[in-house]
Amino acid sequence: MAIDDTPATGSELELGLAIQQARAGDERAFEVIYRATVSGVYGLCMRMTAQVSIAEECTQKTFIQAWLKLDSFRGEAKLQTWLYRIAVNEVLGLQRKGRQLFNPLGSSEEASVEDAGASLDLEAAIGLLPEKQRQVFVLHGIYGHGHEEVAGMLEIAEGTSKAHYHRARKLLMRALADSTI
Amino acid sequence: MNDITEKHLDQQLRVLPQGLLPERDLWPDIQASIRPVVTESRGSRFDRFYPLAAAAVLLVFVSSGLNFLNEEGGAPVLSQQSSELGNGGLLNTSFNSSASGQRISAGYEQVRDELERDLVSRLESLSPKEKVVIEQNIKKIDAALAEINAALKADPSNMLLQRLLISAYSDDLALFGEINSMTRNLDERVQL
Repeated sequence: MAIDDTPATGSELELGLAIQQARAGDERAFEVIYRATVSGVYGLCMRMTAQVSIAEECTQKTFIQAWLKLDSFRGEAKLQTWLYRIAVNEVLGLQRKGRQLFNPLGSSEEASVEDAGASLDLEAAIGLLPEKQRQVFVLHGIYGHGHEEVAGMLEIAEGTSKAHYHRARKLLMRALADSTI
Repeated sequence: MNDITEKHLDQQLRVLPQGLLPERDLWPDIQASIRPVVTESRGSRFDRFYPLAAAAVLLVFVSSGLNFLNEEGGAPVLSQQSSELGNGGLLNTSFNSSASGQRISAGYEQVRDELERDLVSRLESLSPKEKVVIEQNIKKIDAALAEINAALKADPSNMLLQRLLISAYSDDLALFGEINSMTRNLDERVQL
């Protein structure tokens, strides 16, 4: 899994043009959008699902949905934010279908992150968080969405979002401390 | 057990990149999925946006070209008299449905008017050849802005078009500033 530290390609002007052209049916313009935004979308899917194959599926579905719904994107939010919302819906859709996507290491949710052992970095520790805590932590802690927005995305109460985030932080701190013995 | 504090966790979070690249290129599968949709429902509207895209690309291209000329050290040219500049299609913006849009447009026109006045006073320092180049480029930019503006007039609430126009304003003003700066430098060299 490669980390993408490079900024999105193209200026806002170029991306705006690509959106207009893609709306008009230009497949190549949509590829420009894909190349400029895929790392953010895949990063979100990967961290929320913690499985490569599912994250890839989620990413593909996100961009297919984006293509189909591009007319509804009016530019009130940033394109990346709009794509993240679609991605979250895709993750939740897979979850609702009962796919066994989450908690790859453990049957007991909290055991998976707490018992992970040494050499655990933050990225890996996040992947071992319980499902809801991981989703809240990724959306709020990494992608910067407010708790109100996270609550709306995940269809939970705002207070629940805050509680999940707080609990996730505690678990992460404990897991990271254990790994540095 | 080492103590990982809230501060340590926040420090690690800050350096965690948002982006992760997938191990394989996912585009071919996406492309295969959207291709039938392209032929069925989206292709017919391409023509509507093509002129807009071309206009904005032209704007960027012309701006870049003049910057290149400046960096090369050759002073480009203006053959534009003040009346021609003023009548040549300065953008009459179309954020008619938005008070903030009107403020932005009014601010843009005010700043550009000031830059034009400054520019006109310096035209005489340039050669006829240089003036022609600048005149042609300004006309191209005005045409590009007009294209964007026309699209926005047809769809005034379109936020993307509004952003595009604001970017175009910004590029246009930067270009005028660049031209003024170049002519000012030329004046200074002459005086020396």
